[in-house]
Amino acid sequence: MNTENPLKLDDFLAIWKSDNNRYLQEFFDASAFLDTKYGFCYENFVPDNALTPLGPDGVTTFASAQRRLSPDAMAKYKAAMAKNIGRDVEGFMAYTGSIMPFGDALTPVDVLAQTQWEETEQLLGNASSIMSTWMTNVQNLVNSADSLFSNQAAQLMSTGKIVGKNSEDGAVMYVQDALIPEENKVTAGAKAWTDADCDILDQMRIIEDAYRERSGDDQDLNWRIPLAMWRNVFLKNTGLIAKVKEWRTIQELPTSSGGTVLEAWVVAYLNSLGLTSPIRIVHEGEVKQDPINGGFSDTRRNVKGWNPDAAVLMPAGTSGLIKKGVIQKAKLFSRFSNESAIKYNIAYIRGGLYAVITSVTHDANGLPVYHVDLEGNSAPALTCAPYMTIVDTKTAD
Amino acid sequence: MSELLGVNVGVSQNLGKVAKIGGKRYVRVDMGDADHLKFVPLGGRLMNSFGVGGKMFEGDLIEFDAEKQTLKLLKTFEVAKAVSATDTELYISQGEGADYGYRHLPEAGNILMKAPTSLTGKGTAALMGVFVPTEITEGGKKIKVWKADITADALGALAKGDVLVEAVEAGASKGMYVTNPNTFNPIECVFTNPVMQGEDPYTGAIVTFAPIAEGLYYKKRMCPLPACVSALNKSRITAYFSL
Repeated sequence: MNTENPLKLDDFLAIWKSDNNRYLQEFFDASAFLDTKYGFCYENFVPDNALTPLGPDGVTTFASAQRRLSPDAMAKYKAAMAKNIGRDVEGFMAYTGSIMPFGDALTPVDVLAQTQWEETEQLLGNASSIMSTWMTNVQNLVNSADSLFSNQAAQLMSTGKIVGKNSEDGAVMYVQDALIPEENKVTAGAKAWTDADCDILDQMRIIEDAYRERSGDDQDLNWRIPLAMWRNVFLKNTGLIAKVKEWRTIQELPTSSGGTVLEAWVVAYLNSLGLTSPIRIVHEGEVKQDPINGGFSDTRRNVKGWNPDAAVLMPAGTSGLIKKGVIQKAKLFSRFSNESAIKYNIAYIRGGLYAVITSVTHDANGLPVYHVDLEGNSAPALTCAPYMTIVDTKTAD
Repeated sequence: MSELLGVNVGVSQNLGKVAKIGGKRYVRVDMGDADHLKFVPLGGRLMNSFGVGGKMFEGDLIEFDAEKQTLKLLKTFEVAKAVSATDTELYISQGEGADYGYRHLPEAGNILMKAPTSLTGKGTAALMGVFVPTEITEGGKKIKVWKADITADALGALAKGDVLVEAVEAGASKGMYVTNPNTFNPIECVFTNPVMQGEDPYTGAIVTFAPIAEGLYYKKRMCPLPACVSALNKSRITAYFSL
C-alpha cells in the first residue's frame, strides 16, 4: 500500500483483486488498524502455536494432559531390614476435547457499490474515507471473534465448561468440559457471601486453606471475582466496610466517601492484610444478537460468560491455551479455487486463530460481487483445571 | 473416560472393524451446477442423531429451524414383512438389491408409528426395544432385516412396504416428529460415536452440519418416503423429487 500519495480506490480494491494472495495479510499487518476490544480471553489464554489436527471422522480433537497435585508426606521411621509401605504412583489426568468452527460475514456488495465508491473517490479526491469505513466493518468482524473467545474463556474459568449456543432456547452446538475435580467445586462457607453480615474474607481464607491442605499446592494463586460481585457483594458487606473504616481510622485517613468506602481502599486493605491470595476483578462482557428471524433479531443483549455467582481460586499465571484447527474454507479456497471464477485473499489474525477472507466472485451476470468473511476454528482450553477451586457464593454449606 | 483414553500393557484386545470408505451413491439429479454446496447459513445440530453405526444419506429430508439451529432428520423405516394385529415381531428392511445398506438404522429408544396420511396427522406410536440384524425369507427371497419384539397391536396392522416414521411420543393419537421437512442433507455421514447425553461431552458427540434448501433427487434412490411426504414433491418430472 502506498502511504505517501492519496489513497486510490485501486489500492482498496486490491484487497479483493490483487494477484498477491498475501496482500490482505500484509495490509492488516502494516496498517495495524485492528484493535483488540474484547481482550479477556487473551489476558488469560495464550494462542497455541501448534495446529490441532482434523481427524478422519471429522473431529478436530485436542488432548490436554494435567498432573494432579497430591500432598506429600514425610518418610517413616523403620527397622533397617523392614520392608517399606508403598505409596500410590500418581498418573496423569488426560482429557480430549474438540474445537468448533465459527464465523461471521459482511453483506456481500456488488458492482453498484463499486460504482458508488468510484463516485465518492471523484468527489473527495481520494479513497481514504471508503477505506476507513470498511476497516470499521472489519473491526466489527474481528470483535465478533474476540468476544466469542472472551465469552468462552469466562465460561471455562468460572464453570470449567463451555456450553455454546447461538440463542437462549437454541440448540447447544458445542460443549467442552475441562473436568475440574468435583472436590474443587465448593459452596460458600458458613453463610452465603451475599448476606450483608457474612465474613467473606474469613470464608475465603478457609476455602483457600482447605484447598492447599488437600492438594499440597503451594503455587501463587489468585481469587477471581466478577465486577458485579465485587460491587454488589464485597463493597456492600457491612463487616468488610467496618474493617476498612477501622483500618483507615488507625492511619488517620478519611473513612467515608458518600456514605461508603472506595474500591481502592478495600484493595489496599486486603493487600496489607494478606489473609487470602490477591483478588483480581474480572472485567468481561459481550453483546449477543440471537438468530431470530433467520439471523435478524431486533434486540441485542448484553451477556457475560462468567457465572455471576462464581468466585474462583486459581493459579496466578495464564489459564490455558487457545487451540486452533484447520479452517476448512481457507484450506479449500487456497487449494481448489478457480482463479477465473473466484479470487480470494486470506489474512490470518491473532496467529491463525481465525482468518478474514475476502473474495470476489462473478456470479451476478458476470459482474463482480465482493465478499468479506470471517472464518475460525478454535477455542480456549484450560491447562490449570486441577488447580482451580470454584466457589458457589450463593449457597451456604 | 477411561474407555476413551486408556493405555493397556499386558492385555490384548482382538476386534475387527469394517467400513466401505469413499464411494458415492448417485442420488442427486445432476443439473450441471453445485446445488449440493448451497448450504444454509450457520447450520444446526442434529437433534435425533444416531448412535454408533447409524448412517444418513445424501438426499435425506431435514427439518431445519434457522432460529434455534436445530435439525431433525426424517428417519424412515420400511416394513419388510406384514404385521397382523396379533403379531409380536416387527421386521424393518435393510434395503434390497442396490438399496442394501442405504437405510436408516432403527434403534432401541426410537418411538415409531406408521406414517399418517398427512404430515399433521395422528397415529399410534410405540417405544421400541432392541433391534437385532437378521435375515428372513419373504416372497421366496432372502432379505436382510432388523428385527424387534413388539407388543401385539402396538403399531396396528402393517403391510409389507409400509413406512414407519418417528413420533413425538408414544401412545394413541400422536403426531410425527418431523412435520415440516424443508431442506435436504447434502452429505453422507456415518455415526461413529454415541449421542451426547445432556451437556457431558464424555458421553458422546454432538453432530452439526448445514443442510441445503434446494435440491433435485431421484426418488427411487432416496430413503423410502411415506405418501404424506411424497405429496410435497414440487418436481413436475416423474421420478424426481424436489421441495
